[in-house]
Amino acid sequence: MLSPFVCVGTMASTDAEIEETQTWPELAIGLYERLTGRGAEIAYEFEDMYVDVPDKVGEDADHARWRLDGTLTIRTSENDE
Amino acid sequence: MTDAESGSPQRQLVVGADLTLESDRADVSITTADGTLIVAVESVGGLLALYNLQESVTSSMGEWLPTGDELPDDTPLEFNAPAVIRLRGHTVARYNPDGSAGLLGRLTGLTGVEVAPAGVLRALGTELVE
Repeated sequence: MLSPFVCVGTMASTDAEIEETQTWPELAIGLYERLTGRGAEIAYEFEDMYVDVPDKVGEDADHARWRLDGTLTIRTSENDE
Repeated sequence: MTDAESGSPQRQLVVGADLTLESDRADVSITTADGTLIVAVESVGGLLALYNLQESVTSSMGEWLPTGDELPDDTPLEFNAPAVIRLRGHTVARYNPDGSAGLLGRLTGLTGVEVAPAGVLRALGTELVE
């Protein structure tokens, strides 16, 4: 079966870092690097989003409910920008 | 070849925010202005709720974030935006990623955080009056 990692490796056959991708986090970072390298920006839009945040790991954790609304954008720049 | 190896400037993440966070204990506004992250809270209880949120996320992030070993060693990215924490419109603390830990930083483990005493007194005074 053709995995997503193989697909990305094929797309980026000249990029050694992408070809070595082994995990989903590496895949995400690789894609982010390529996107931002072209001046792209990642924008997250939260609209009435509720998140139950556990205070610890485990089934007996208490949860605090937070509501998120708005936007978060991430891009890269050079340090001297 | 990585950016670091090639000697090119290291890239940093630039975050822009126009967010509101609400819980039964807090109303928080997170915005950015001139590269500075501004976190505005309307009550001392909200500030404590925000601190608890930070603690909760930090203590559980190992469960949902990749471990350091899984990340490439040569990821040429860094996040070093300064931040300001405002309580009732008054600046009560500043975060400078290049700064040393102040008293609050040492107490909370948040390196680079410095308290603004005058702002704390004004904010507490406002809260006590209301």
